[in-house]
Amino acid sequence: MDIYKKSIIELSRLLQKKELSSLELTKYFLDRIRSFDSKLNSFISINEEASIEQAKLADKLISNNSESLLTGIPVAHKDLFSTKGILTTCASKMLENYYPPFDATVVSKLAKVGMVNIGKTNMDEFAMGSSNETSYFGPVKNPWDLETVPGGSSGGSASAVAARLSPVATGTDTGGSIRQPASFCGLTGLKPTYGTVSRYGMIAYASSLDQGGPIGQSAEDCALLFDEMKGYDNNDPTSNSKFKNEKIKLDLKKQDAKNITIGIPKEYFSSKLDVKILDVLNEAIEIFKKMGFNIKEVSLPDHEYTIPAYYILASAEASSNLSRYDGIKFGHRCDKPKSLEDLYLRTRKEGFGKEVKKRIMIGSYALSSGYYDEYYMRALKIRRIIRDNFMSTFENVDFLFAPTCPSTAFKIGEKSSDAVAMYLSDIYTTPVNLAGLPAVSIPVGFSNNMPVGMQIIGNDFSEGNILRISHLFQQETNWHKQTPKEFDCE
Amino acid sequence: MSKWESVIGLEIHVQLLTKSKIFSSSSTMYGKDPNKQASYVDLGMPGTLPVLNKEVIKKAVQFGLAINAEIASKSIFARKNYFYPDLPKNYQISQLDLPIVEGGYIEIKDSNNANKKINITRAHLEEDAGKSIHSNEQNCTFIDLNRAGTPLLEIVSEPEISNANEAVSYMKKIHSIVTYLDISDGNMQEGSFRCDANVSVRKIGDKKLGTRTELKNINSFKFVEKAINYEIKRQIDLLEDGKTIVQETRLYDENKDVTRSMRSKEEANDYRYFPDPDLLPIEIDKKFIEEVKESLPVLPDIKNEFYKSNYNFSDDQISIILGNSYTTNFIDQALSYSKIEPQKVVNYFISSIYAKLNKEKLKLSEGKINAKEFCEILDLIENKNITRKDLKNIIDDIWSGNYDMQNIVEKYSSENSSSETNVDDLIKNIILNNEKQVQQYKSGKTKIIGFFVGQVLKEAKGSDPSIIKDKIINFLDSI
Amino acid sequence: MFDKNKVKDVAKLAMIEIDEEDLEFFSEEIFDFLKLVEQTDSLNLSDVDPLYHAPENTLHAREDIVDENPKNDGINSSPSHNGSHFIVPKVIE
Repeated sequence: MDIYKKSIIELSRLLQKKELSSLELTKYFLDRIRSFDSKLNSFISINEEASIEQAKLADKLISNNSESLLTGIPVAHKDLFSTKGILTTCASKMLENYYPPFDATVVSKLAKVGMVNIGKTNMDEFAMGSSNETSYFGPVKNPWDLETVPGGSSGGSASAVAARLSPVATGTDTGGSIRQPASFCGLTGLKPTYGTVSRYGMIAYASSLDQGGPIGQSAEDCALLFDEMKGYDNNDPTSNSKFKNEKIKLDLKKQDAKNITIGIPKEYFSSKLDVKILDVLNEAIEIFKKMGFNIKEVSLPDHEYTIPAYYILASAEASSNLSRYDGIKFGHRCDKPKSLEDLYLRTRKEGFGKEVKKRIMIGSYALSSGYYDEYYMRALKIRRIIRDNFMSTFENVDFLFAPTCPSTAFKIGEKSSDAVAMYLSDIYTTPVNLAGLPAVSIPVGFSNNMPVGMQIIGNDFSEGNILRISHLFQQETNWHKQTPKEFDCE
Repeated sequence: MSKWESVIGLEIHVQLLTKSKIFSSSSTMYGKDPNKQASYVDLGMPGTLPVLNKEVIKKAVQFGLAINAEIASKSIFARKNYFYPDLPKNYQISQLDLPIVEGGYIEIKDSNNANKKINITRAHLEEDAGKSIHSNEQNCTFIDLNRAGTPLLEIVSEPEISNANEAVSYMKKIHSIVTYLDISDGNMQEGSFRCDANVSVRKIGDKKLGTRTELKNINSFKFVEKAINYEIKRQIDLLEDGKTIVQETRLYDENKDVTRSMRSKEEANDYRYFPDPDLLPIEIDKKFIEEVKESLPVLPDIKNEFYKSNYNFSDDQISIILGNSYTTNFIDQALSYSKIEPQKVVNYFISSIYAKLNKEKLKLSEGKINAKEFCEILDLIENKNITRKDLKNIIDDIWSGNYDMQNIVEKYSSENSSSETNVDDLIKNIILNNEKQVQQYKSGKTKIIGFFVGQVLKEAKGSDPSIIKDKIINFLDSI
Repeated sequence: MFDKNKVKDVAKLAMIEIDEEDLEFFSEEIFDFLKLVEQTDSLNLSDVDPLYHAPENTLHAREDIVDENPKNDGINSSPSHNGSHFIVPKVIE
């Protein structure tokens, strides 16, 4: 039946017609994880018992006709969403044995509609990385080429969905951590407007930038998952109540396209971009044109300043957020501390990996006396400029196209010795985080047999529209339906 | 005359009287089992987030208005980063730029009993830390995080306090404001009101401030006085010996009456303050400030003048009335209801309700009796339906909760009428048993009445002699 | 200049022990990053206000209500507790 290829709506139909139970579906995907994940390392843990319990509950909901489209559908959670009583590591030795006593809001919301948590996916340690190579539990591989990275930090989620080990997955995006792996793995990934999806229970990397979102095969799957992830949450002080929390209807018609103008920022499509990728993007833009959208070149300057500003801000916030890991209340504790200071120093030395340590140090430095204005304050001001630039562009166009990444997935180890090169690969995604905007990455073709993604960026709370536009595109194209050969079998 | 003068600034930490903590819905109740009031948010568990308690804002605004300060229209929380085991996140949520209250002042009496204005730099909100219990036997420290997250208002004065006496007056004035406004219970034993003092000395006439030391966590008026006096002397002694003062944090040892350097705070900390990215700016609109202003009680200083000039109350009486806003309201209401003269009302109150509250550590705010009911009882006394002595028992009964006003009045007035019949019987008995004296009375020796009154009073102690006398005459005349 | 001594200072502030042989790695990596940051030096930011969150928003506060089912079992996650207290090496004040 090729169940693994099916969309959420297709699976939901099978469940509702009782042609398939959630229990069967869950076992089916657990089997796929068992058969394939040794090649990918996309999961840190699976909890078969808990998944099966949830599947049985979902089957009850379905037999009582109280189901939603998501009831009984498996979902994989990035391992920084707290799951009550289930190992949550953030891919760090620091939390190697941490079982949270509560569920993240996103986790409980999805459980409430009857989704089945099929496992916790691998990631960069504390979400710090763009390649999934900083995980304490080893790198994740890209199903399109096992020698390349799946992107990061939500690399496990992307790899798992691309190999069809889970129909959909959650991720988080601080500087591109949903969109970049979605792009590297040929998937659709949405980074929502800051404040749309609750951060409660999501282990913090950089509080003012972190935002949870869906990773799936298609805009349609992402819309369905996002519908249940979003919403105002009393437990999250940065949760935004200013948007209408309505279900997204993917009802955009081709004849509506002529009323929509999409800008192409010339700075983002410059000669600095890989020529082959530029070709793929231009072909995709041609398709949008043919569909009737108005396409217009615009200028979106200063994006080159984003990388320094982003890494300063994210590291500063992280340096403080990660102070709580001290070997006292939870997580790793060094053996036989000789003094309080020894407890702190060794616990944190042993518990954190190099990239995490480096960012904590950069952040501590940027906030320290005498350097605050030079680094932290300037970064906040650059942030204002980046946001203002987007806002003035949105006076002329409704949406923006942008590459997701300067390259396709790179080889494992290729950039791990050149940190700055790795940071620079986030150049097209980080501006969106600094500006707090929503953006989706959709697959638009291949370059050297590796998937290429393109972003559609919108104004605050325009997730519905960017998903509608993506969905319309995906009705014209088949890029999102491709499955890597090695995993394209039962 | 000493050639030295001291300069003191105080930082007072006031625990705000809220039901729940500043950023979590854990109870702020004091004295619970260790860590039983420490929620996931209070422990800083991964993924938890702080959610601000509205009441904390209101109380800070009340304080700001009471000291004539500016209330910030926009205020932000910042993180103060340092590692310490009783600080669960290893940063404290506090305020640096844009504190909720800026400016303002209070007035105290200086050593010449003249009014002196002490300016207040700022008052900001922050979360309290937990508690460390150091054990020598087990060579470890135990951490209880129940207190972590209790709301604090830190009130920072300008360095305008000249000596220990002024420091105590300043502290008492702040204490009376926060307890009067019901912002804090002001309980110093439980740490709801504590003080850090920045002390420096300089030669009289010098403009430049001397090097200061910070005395940490002093929790009584007496110790503030002692600690500051000790520290001033220590600094002067050092300077007179040609030595220099080290800028450091010192701890007052109340047992030895000395201050000593705190080793754990030796290194100058770099707190890396920055705006808390988990918390958005607080906006306080004018309308809210106006509402708080309107509900603000008249402050103790103004009431004090009013009581003196209108009623001629003594300082002792006033200090009791102004002890907290409940008492003040109670007395004000009683004065408006009662036809009895104000002095009497206050004295009745002090000898009955206040005495009981004080003795049994009870609170008027428990609402066991209101001013109107109290006045009704006073009317009964004045009308001699009950005696002054009954008042104490009535108050006890009311607090026991077993009586309402109606049955208490019945109980005591019937007791009195039954004791009245007893007195009547007693008079009858005494008169009939002393025939000789009756004859003397009948023969015109009216002074013999005194004998009968004496006899009756011997048995019926506490009765009103004039009433007894009238009764005796009535009876003698009837036989 | 972000040399090895600077790494030591910052590591102390961040409470992370760094092995002698890793000092060079961190000093080089952080130095390279700070060089990247220098590219922004040409920007004149004197008239720009900092932006802390986007979209900008203000804080919602909650009512002063105590949780009737307090979540107070967090201590069980501690690697060093005795059921009632967290335990740390003796702190010298």
